[in-house]
Amino acid sequence: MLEVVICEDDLETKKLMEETIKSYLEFEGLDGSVVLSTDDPYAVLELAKAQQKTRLYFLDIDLGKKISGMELARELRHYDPTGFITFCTSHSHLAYMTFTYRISALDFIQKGDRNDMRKRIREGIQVAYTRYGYKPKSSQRFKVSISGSHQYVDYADIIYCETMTEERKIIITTPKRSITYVGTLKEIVDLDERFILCHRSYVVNRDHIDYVDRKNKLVYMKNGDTCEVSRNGLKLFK
Amino acid sequence: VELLIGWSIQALFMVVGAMAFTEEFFERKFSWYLKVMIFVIFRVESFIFPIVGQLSIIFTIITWTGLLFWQTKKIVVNLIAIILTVLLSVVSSYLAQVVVLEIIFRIIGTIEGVGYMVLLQTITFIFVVTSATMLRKPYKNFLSSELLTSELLKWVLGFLVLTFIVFYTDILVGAYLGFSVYVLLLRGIQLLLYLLLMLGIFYKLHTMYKKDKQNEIERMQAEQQREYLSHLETLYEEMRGLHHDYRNLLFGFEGYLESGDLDGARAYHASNIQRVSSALQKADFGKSQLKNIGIPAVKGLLTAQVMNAKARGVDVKIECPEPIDGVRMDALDLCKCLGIFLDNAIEESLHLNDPEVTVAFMTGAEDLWIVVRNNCRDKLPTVKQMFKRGFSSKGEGRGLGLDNVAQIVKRTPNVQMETEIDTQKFTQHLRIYT
Repeated sequence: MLEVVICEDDLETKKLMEETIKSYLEFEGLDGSVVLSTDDPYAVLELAKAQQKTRLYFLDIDLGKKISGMELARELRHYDPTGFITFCTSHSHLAYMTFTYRISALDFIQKGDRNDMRKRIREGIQVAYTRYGYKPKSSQRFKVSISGSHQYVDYADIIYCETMTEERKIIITTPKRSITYVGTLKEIVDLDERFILCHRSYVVNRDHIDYVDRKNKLVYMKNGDTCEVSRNGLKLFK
Repeated sequence: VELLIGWSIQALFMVVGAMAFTEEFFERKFSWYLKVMIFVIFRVESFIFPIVGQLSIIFTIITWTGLLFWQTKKIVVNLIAIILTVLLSVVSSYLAQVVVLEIIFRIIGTIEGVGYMVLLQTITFIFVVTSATMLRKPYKNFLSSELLTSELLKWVLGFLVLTFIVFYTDILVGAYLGFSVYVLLLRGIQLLLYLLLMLGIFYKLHTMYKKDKQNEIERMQAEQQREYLSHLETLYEEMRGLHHDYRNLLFGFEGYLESGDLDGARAYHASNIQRVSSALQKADFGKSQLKNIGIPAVKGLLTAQVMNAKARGVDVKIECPEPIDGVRMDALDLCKCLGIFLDNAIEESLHLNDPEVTVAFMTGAEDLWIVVRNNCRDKLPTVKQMFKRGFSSKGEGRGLGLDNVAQIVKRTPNVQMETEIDTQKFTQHLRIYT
């Protein structure tokens, strides 16, 4: 069951949310319910602390309390790292990116147009519900961590890695991203046999190779990049 | 026989010395066949030496450069490294002779033949390796310095070639006229002083050039600060205007209420207050989050970029919900990265109908996370291509951008960078860990 939590100090908005959520869950026949609707952020924290599970939260950013919506969300993330957080705010918020990246907020609902609010609330439930039911395939992911902060990269997404000679930094290239961090190529090679150390400073993913240019000792990747191959590395591509 | 053994030992030492030297300079390890090749070059040289004399060094330089050019496809840098190597080994061998003849022989008496050879070469070798290690860092800094232009490189090469010619004419003439050992030694010391003097002058020039650049940057920063202040002033004026409008509106409202004209009040609200309210919402106060950035250089840069973008019709949003007082990264480096990110974002925005550029500074428990995000076109090159030296979507010769960022990230251990290209969104992340 998807548990929904509302934390909002404006009574009107709170009522609107409760009604919209309840009727939508009922209408769509979804397995979920509003377990807490309050204006007290600490009650939300207590619930999250007491029973740790993935929930959907609708939080007001300006709670008029000692703790702001952002601080509440940050605290919440300790107990519910995968929960879905949707913020409500009365002014187009200035820290949009901060909420999106730091808190991984699902959405921002602008207070004002009630019809628009209802629409956004429904969308929020839908997204959370679909993702809630979605179990990631037992896909293998690589953890990129620096100073305690982690990011996950699917093995299948790693196209190739290269080293920067100094400082032990490596760059992982995936279809959409390129991440530079402190690490070693060996870590990557040891992950899985699809990763080939074809050069002192390159590891390529076998599945992403377009073709090998033996004459110029280059590997062309499917995304259009090229990697160097050493003489010994060439023997690995049969 | 003695001579042959001596030469072999010398060749061996030269190889090790030269390798220590050039490897340090190139920051790359030679593969085994390169090592063998270099040894062969020195062996051949020691055979030619008796025939053509000191001129055999020219053979070494040419073959050596050719070898490295074949490997790295670079010529000027290779030539510089090699001539520097040769010059330093010449000076080292002079110094070694002084040490052996004047100090060691005085203490332990004269040795001749192979023993002398080995002693001399060992000491030369020690000098070569020490000077290579000592020069490595400044040389590296010099090569990675952004002040380095190909013109400057050519000047350096010219200077080195000149020094090389001076050295060798001296040696050749000396050998021809048959000076005594002591005169040769004197020459060696003179040459060393000459080399040091030239290096000194060159170093001084370099620092002066650097200082000049630094001054320019500082002047630019002062300029940006001034712009920021004037921007604040306009903002203040705008606020005052709004304040004034609001007060008048409320007075008007009061008038309707006093006379009990509710319909009039409603109409007045609809036509005036709502208009002002929406104007207030749209008003550009987002920039006031800039106040939270407590690093003057960064603040100045952002103000300048925001205004520059505005002049070109692009709105740049800045987010910084919490105050930032310091950052564990060189402020100038940070400014350079941000400047390049923003330049690119603004440049890209000019191609779009719905440009959007946002810069966010997000403080956290263990890092400062900076995001620069902009809308972009559908077809973009891969990240690797963008970061290549000299790459630019604007055409040749303008691309000294992202590769500079890569250099900075490379040498700053606590900085992580991430580049993300998603459906029409281009995002640069820079995370500075504390």
